[in-house]
Amino acid sequence: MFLVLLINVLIVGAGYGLMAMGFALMCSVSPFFNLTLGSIIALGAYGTYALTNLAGLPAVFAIPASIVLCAVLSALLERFVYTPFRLKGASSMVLLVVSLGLYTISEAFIHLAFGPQYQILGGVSVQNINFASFSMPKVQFLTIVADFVIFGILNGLLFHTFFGKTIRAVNDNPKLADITGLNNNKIILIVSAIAGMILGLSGVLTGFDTGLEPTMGFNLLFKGIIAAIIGGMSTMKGPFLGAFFLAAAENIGVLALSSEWRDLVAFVIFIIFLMFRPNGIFEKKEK
Amino acid sequence: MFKKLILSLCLVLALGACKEEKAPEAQVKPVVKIGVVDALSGKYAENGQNVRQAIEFAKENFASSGIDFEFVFEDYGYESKRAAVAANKLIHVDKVDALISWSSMSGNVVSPIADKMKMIHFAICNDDRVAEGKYNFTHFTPSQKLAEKLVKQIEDKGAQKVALFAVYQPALQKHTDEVERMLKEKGLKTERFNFSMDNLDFDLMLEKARQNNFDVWYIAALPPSLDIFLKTFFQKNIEVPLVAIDSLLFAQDKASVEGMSFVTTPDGNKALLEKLTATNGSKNYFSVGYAYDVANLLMKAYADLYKLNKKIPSSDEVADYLLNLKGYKGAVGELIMDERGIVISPAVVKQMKDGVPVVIEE
Repeated sequence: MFLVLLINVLIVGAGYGLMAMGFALMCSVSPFFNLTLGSIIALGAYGTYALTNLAGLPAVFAIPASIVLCAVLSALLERFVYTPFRLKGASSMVLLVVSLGLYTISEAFIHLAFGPQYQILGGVSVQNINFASFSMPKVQFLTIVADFVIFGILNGLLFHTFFGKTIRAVNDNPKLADITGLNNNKIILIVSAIAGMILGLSGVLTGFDTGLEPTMGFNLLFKGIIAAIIGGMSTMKGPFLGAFFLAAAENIGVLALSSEWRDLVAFVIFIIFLMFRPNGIFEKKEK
Repeated sequence: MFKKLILSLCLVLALGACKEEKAPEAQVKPVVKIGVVDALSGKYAENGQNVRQAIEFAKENFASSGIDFEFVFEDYGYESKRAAVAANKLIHVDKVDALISWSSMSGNVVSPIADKMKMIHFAICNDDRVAEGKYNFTHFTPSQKLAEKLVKQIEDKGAQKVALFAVYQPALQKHTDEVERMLKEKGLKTERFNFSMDNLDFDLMLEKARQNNFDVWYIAALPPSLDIFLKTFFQKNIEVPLVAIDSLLFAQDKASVEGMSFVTTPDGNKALLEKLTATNGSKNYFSVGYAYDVANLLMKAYADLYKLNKKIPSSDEVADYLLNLKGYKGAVGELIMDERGIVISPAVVKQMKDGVPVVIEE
């Protein structure tokens, strides 16, 4: 049972981790609760559904196309919605309300285009990957791989490249970064495209694993936000490990109590962290 | 010019005279308005649209004498708060004489409203609570009938321990309660695994059940949790027989339930189903026969009472008439109204064949 618990924590944590890292990356340059990131997750899943199940394209083309679409949409939203608001000096609250409005529009669009019912990507005929006496569906294995690979890439990007330095500069002090000649808007635009790709990928993987619903984006993003807050958002280590912490807590709750307590466990931990450690487990204390 | 004017005036008068002459011939029939609280949009829109179609077919086929019927449909999108708004709109704006609702969810909302307004309410659902009060009636094969059939299936498999997986949804919890009660009465051991509607992770739950060596697993769920449950069940190569009431009908991936049998409700007579498929191509017949029956029962009650008294009957008269209903040949079989206002109808066993549920045991 312990092995099953461990593997399940790994699978669920990897799924949360992708969303948490996408959210934390976006927050590092544009610090507000951007709910349209939930729309990007849903677009990844529904884009793949439209291209495979409706247009009949093979998944090998449909998946990259959906991820690119997510990156483009994320950048377009940044360029034509959030940047103009930011330049006008809009507060985080205004940006949050704008993102809520856009998220509602995107959800309504999904309802109109694909219907409100639950849809499946792929089918029940799961392809398993076997490890000794244990097997797991291919898509869950790919989620774990993607989580670790993206964590490695983001860490490398943020701490071993010049572009990473510029992102951190914008994160630390946007005004100072601007004065020193960095093009903040361009950096935010590129980061939003990268975050869009990560969230799009997480949407695709979730779509193949658990199916599609119009409200899926918000539900998934919320777990990602909780994981990012638990871990802390100053480095990628925070959201990455925070996701596994959240998954472990939820799964232990399911095992000890029952599955209906899963969300309750997640939200109790969320509230506890907000009250006693709002900067997360791995956040350095401010001097 | 003057001639033309005179001619026009004559023409108008002549036309008016013709109209006046026709008027006494066309006697205006009294109209009974029946409001339907239906899920025409939302997750179960396909079922809701088919319910509407079945009610319209019933109206087309009903040989009315002396009375006309008008059905007014109001969408509640399978949301309880909208069901209350829809019922109030039908009562206060459309001024309907009686109400029909589809699903336990809307039935539970409409039932107290109808009782307060002393208005006939016929719910297409199998929740006993909906039938409370003089004016409320329900028509759907009751949980007890479905559970009886399922428990017999479980006994035939020689099971001693049964795992019951059930989502938090009123109708499915009701079925599961009934199954659990009957299994316990027969001395079988049971364990209940409840989960929420949006639960998408069954790994640990199924592993926990597998380790307890149950002889039979029972599932009561709806998409998306149903599909994830089935996916996990097959992925884990669990070789325990899986039984269900209704649920397998709703699996999005029909291939996953191909060949599996389950206890469910009858669809309705063949002519009705063929007409439905010909009209909108749908082969999702869930609730269709019941909707057809409910519309017919209400129309029959109003028409028979009108024939007798030559006036639109009151809600009390219709309620008394319906309570005395016995042996009515409905679309889903022979119907008997019990003293609580619940129509008792049979259960059937179906099997998924080429993605379509087929009756294998009446």
